[in-house]
Amino acid sequence: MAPADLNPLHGLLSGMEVEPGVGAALERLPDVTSVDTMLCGATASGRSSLALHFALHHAATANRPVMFLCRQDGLEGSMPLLPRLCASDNPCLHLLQLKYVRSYLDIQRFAACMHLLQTPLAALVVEDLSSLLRIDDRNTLVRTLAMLLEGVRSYRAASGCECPLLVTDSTDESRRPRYIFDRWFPLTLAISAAAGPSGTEGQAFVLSVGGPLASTTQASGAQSRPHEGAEGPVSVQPAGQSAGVTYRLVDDHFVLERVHEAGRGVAARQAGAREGTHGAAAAPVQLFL
Amino acid sequence: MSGYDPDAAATAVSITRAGDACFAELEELVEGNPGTDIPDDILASLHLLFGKNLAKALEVVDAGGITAHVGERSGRTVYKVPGRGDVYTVFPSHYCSCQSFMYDIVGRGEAVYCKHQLAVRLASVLRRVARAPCSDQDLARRLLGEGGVG
Repeated sequence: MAPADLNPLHGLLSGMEVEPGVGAALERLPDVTSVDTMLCGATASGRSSLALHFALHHAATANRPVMFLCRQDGLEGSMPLLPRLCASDNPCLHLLQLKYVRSYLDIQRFAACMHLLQTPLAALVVEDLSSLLRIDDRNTLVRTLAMLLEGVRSYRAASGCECPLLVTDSTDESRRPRYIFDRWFPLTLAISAAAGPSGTEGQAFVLSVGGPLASTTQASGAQSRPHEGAEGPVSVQPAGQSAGVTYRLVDDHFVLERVHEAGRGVAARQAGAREGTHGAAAAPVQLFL
Repeated sequence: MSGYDPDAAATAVSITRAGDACFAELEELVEGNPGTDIPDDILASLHLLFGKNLAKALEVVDAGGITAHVGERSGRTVYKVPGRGDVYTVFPSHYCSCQSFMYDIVGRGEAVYCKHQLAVRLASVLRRVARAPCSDQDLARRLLGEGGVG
């Protein structure tokens, strides 16, 4: 079994069109490695779509099913976008196993039964945790996260699959109990609205890297380095401005416009210069496999 | 409840790793000499790392009754630790269903482990856990039923 891609950024960005000139900068994003990742982002930030892209990326890479747990009304009420250039008849879509859950109890039941799964999963996604429980019910949140992480870890040990886990949440940053999430997720990726005017193509968003290990103070100039966390190797990022990317919804897909290295950003070109330039410059890099 | 403290998170990681090293050393000793007591130097290190919860954990171990329910095919394990009027569900590295875990460990960050988590780790190394094999289906029911996870 080929090793899984444990850099969640690869999966999350896999469905985006990449602006010319930004592709090379992508390689300078931190090489974050985490089997358990939290993705936080408000409604209409592209969170659900990125979660779907993450799932399909792992399904395509491993050629194994990915389980996607979500509320049915949430999914049908706001359909996530398919990755760029992913047609509705793409065979990878058959590897996506949607499991509708109604509340945190269904998550706990699923977690309790994970060791019974016969199918080797490529990844597991739990979409919008706050739609399944009240985030201010700390006891339930703690128990549900503990059950979920214990279930996934047991499944990994029994199956030999790395099965990266992505849990998303739409709670507002001010209300999110970060100290609880950081206990189980060494890596948190956050989506926030980008500063500045919306532009003709709509609101831009910033996907940035955070989490307890991303805040560890490093010596000046230190690069990210892997070290053994409680559950395996985890990359540690330099302190300072968070690394990440800026993307925008254009038509029916996301366009990656800018890469932010920790401490500085790398812009492709000014937003106005890309109007009407589809096909005029070098072909954009397609990340979706 | 406490807010996010990056220094505390980093400290917790350090304590966890140091604790893992102590438990690994103790495991080696016990393997070579079953029934041995915890050497003073390891005891001192564990006390330094885990404070008052270590003594409480040792009391829990001495009281007995820690059980590991193990799925026969999967090997998945859930620990049950008797407490004051209740039986707690413990995932030793990251969860206990007791109130102290919720308020002192998660809420206040006063320690890395509660006494029940430490007790499970100690009892496991000292071979003082009662092993109770069951079917994988029973294990799932046990995780959900009997009060579920707390």
